[in-house]
Amino acid sequence: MRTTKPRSLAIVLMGVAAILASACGGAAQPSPSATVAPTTGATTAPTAATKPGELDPAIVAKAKTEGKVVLYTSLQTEDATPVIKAFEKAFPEIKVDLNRKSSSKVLTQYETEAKAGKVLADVLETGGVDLAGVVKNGLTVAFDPPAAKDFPKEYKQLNGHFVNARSAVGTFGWNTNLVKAGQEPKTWEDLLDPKWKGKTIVEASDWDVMQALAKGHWNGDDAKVRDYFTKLSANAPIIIDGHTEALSALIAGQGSVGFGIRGDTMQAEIAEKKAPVNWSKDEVMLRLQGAVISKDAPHPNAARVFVNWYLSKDGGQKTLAELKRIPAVPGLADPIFTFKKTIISGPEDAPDLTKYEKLWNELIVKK
Amino acid sequence: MRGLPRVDRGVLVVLGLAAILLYLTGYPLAMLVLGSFGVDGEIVKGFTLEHYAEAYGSARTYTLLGNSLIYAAGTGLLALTLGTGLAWIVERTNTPYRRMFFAVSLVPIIVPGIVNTIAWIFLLSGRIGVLGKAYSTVFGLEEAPFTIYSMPGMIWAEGLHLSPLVFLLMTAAFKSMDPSLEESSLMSGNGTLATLRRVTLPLMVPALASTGLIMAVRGLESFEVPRLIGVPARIPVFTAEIYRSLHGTTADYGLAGALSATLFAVSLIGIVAYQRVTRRAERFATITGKAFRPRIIDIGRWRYVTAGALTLYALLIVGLPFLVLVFVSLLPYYTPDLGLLASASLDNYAKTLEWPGVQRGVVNSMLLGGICATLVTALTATVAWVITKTKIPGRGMLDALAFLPITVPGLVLGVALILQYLSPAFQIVPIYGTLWILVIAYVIRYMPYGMRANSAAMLQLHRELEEAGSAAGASWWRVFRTVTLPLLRPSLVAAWIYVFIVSVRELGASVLLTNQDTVVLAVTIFEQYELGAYGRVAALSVMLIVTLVIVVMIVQRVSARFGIRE
Repeated sequence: MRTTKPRSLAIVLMGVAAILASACGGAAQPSPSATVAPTTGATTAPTAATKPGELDPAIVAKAKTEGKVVLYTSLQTEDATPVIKAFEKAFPEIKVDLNRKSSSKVLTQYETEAKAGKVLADVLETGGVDLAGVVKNGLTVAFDPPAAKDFPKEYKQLNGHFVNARSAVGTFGWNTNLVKAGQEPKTWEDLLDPKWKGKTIVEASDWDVMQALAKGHWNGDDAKVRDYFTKLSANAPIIIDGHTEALSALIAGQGSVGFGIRGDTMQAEIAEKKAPVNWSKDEVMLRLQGAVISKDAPHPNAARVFVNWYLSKDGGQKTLAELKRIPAVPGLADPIFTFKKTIISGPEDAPDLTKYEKLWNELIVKK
Repeated sequence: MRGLPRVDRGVLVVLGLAAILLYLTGYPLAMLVLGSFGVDGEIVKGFTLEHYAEAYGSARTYTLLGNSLIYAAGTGLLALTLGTGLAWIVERTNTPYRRMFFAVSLVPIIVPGIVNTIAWIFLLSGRIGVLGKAYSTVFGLEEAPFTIYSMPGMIWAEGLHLSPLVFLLMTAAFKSMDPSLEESSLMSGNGTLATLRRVTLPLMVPALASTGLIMAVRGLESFEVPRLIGVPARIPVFTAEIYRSLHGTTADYGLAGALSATLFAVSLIGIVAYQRVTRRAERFATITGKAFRPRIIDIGRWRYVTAGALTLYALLIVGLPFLVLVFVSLLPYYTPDLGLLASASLDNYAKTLEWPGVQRGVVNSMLLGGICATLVTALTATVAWVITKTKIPGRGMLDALAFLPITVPGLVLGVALILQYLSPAFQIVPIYGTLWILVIAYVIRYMPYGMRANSAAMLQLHRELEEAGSAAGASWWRVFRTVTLPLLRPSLVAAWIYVFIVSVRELGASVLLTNQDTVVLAVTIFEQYELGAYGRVAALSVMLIVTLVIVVMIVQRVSARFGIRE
């Protein structure tokens, strides 16, 4: 009968509509949560059979079935490639899909994809301060990696969403051709010396160094912060946009000293190219960098396997040490990275950053 | 079909083109404009004028605008003068050895803007520039009295970088000019300069206006020179604010959108002004029914002066930065110490092919450049034809739609495309993560250049040629294919070359949209640059320059056999 055709068609159409509706609804944006609550679940409870530092074998087995982990990172490609190689050697069944970009770009991509409703990344690895935003917006899950059990407690921040894996150094440096031995600045205050007038290189966006010093050097006394940076600004610094450019300018001799130099980067220039520069190891800022795991990650178990391996002494931490980076596990880094005093800068410092950004722009960039 | 009145079909064409343009540019433009009125940069969160208040409520913005106007005007003037002058010498005079300079003139735009800027810093910086150091050593000073860190320095670096664009567009315009007009002027007793002033330049108004418009917007949106030279020089410009708003602790799309509104306004005013100036199209028609061979003008003894000018240009403006790049490429790090050459090595060159992503990047970039250049030239030639050759209502809007993308910062374009193509509605176009999303990004970005090149070119074509074709009974398509296109060839080729070169250099959107498989050369170079590997970047740039010059010279030889002989 002809009348059954329209009816079955209607049923089919309703079914299609229902499928479309659920697809659209499923792509709704994740709602930002004001507080970050740690999530617990069966996947993180260890069984009695695991060795210390190792994940529950059930998770590892599921990860092998998933077969892949998508890693978004700001590690330099020349570092990321050996790290991935080492991981794939330890876990041949899990392939790493690498997306490497500079910190601000990899974050923008990660956030925009989530906003569009598509979570493509399992793990995001970059600077801690930069990760605070994605954690605050509810894009990540907490994870307690067994490998990081004995890490210093300041390396674990944001209720289990972030663990430090490697650190970068913020310090001051000088050009060894232009600054005779014995004349180099010894403290942050030495940079205010009139002999460096017009010869101090300052990177244009180093308000995070200002914040770290405010916290660890002046113990939160903002009047002292203001005083120091007013004097620094009065010393006619050479403002350079970009850390790469700032370091090159110091090496080329555009300035004699540099504020906020990245010590680990400079050390690589000294070691590999014999660049005529050196840096202070007395009182430094330690920028925490680490990995977070996406909520709704496409391969959640592989993500945990990767992050745990990355933090384990014989896994990722060893590879990072071999690459002359500063791994979180104490005692693995090159002895040259021994500091008298460190000021930690991590995701929990992010809320203060806007305040110091404003102060920096007011005093240094004159915005 | 034959029964449909022409106007209706025309309106359909305009609507069809508008639909294509809207599909491409609608989302990014909407995101920028609507975002500027939205809380946190998103209109769905609420309407607000706070971004406009922040952008235009502070006196500092107007200081920046003032700086930017001087900067844009300066670079525009320098680029126009240099580019037009060179084009005239190469295309219209009998200056000896002029053909060689075509390839040389393109060199300043092959390398990424960063490389160009750094080369000039390493030349002209009072403290660390090679020339600066030479001067201060010779005269026993601590540092040279000149410096690139100044407004003239900024104008110099950017103007030089842009002059090849002017050169390309103007050579195409000059090639399409019937010399009988100038010859009549010379025979009536006017000297070369008077002819130039009274005949040549007025006929070039569309090309100059088109190019001038691009220069104005490029100058306003230029960013590498303001960042690398303007910041240390303490000369903040408007576009630096847009950059900062996107790269602060949190990206402020609302503020970026509000600031970009100025660029929007400038572009719209520019287009309206351009359309006014070129309204009486017949005045600019230089390709007419009379057969012509673009003959050159004998400028007599002046040709030694012009030859000298070309040589000076090649040595100073192209040669010096090239030499600095060679110098940097031979060393592990840069200092202005020529003594370091003693430890020079080819290390930076040796490893070039092993860089992560460089081989794939070269292939992808060539492919993308070719596809993008072809699509942009085809699309904008069609749109330009509709705008200049028909009277269909609504066609002026097409010009705006095709040109406005020039105001969208690369990063914003990248974000807009991610949102657009990952949204549920666009899941049927699964191009995210592939080369095709880059094709779309580049087409959107470089359409404005194609538009200006082609609309100026169309004006040179006198209607009588096409009318002759249709009077003889040929269909619209046949006329287009056999009459219009061949006559426009010089301009189409120039537009193609330019879009090809700039799309190989695109970075702003590419950094977001590429991955390990779809990596492009510009991103690979930038990655090395961020590592501080200036030596490697210089080595690759040297190789790119040498390759391009050789390729262009070969192509010139080959096409001279097929082109119009002199």
